[in-house]
Amino acid sequence: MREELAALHEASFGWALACCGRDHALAEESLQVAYFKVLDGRAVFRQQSTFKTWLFGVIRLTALEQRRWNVFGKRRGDSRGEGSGDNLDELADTRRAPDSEAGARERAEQLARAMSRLAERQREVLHLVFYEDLTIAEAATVMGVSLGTARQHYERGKHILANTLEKP
Amino acid sequence: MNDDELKKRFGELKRHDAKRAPTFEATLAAKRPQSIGARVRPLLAVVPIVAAAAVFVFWCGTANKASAPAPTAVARAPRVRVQAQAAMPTDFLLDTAPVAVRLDTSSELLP
Repeated sequence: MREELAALHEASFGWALACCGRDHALAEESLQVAYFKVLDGRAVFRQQSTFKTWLFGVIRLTALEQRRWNVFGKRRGDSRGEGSGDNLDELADTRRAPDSEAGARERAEQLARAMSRLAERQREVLHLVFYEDLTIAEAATVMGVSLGTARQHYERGKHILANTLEKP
Repeated sequence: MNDDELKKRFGELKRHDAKRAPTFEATLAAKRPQSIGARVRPLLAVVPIVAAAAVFVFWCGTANKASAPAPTAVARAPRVRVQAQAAMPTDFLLDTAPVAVRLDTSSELLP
């Protein structure tokens, strides 16, 4: 189980970031809690889907719990502080990076900003399909919605995202 | 913007995120956050104590009511009505001095 988690770690972190509104600290915390859920046997893989799809479902629900807790609880200030630190580091890195790399980073940031303007379901399905290379059916399983619903969110979200990115 | 271009943009974002991602081992080894269950558990431990205290207070109240003495003969006696009282020789003590006298007395004190 540990090896399977390690193999999917990079993709899992990207998905956790998407589920946590790209808050680095919160994503890391959610991912850790999700890993422990799997390793402690609190989340059980029943082989009704692929391991990746199931794991992403666990991460999604865990991130949702963590976000709710942070809204309700006291840790919000801590994670915000860490997140702002990361953003400053990121800006500093951009200044040092070569032009091509800086351009790619800028486009990545632009995409992240455009994604943040989408509805949550639209953002989730687009991330799962374009970033994680899942099919719409697999994305629907992760999100716990029907295929038709996922397809609707996918089409609407893609249209809005393309329009946003094409604006100068 | 078509699907291929979107895919390319997401690829850039993925590479960008991959550079900032902590390793698997680092994620597991980081200071373990308290799970939500662990955060709520101390509150759950207090609930039986509060419930037991509430039951005890209720029980004490009920027991006090049950063991309270029966009303005595004095308590049960009919109240004496004012109209039934006869005039008494000490009634003059209830009379107050006329207001004028008190005013005179007080004027003497003025400069």
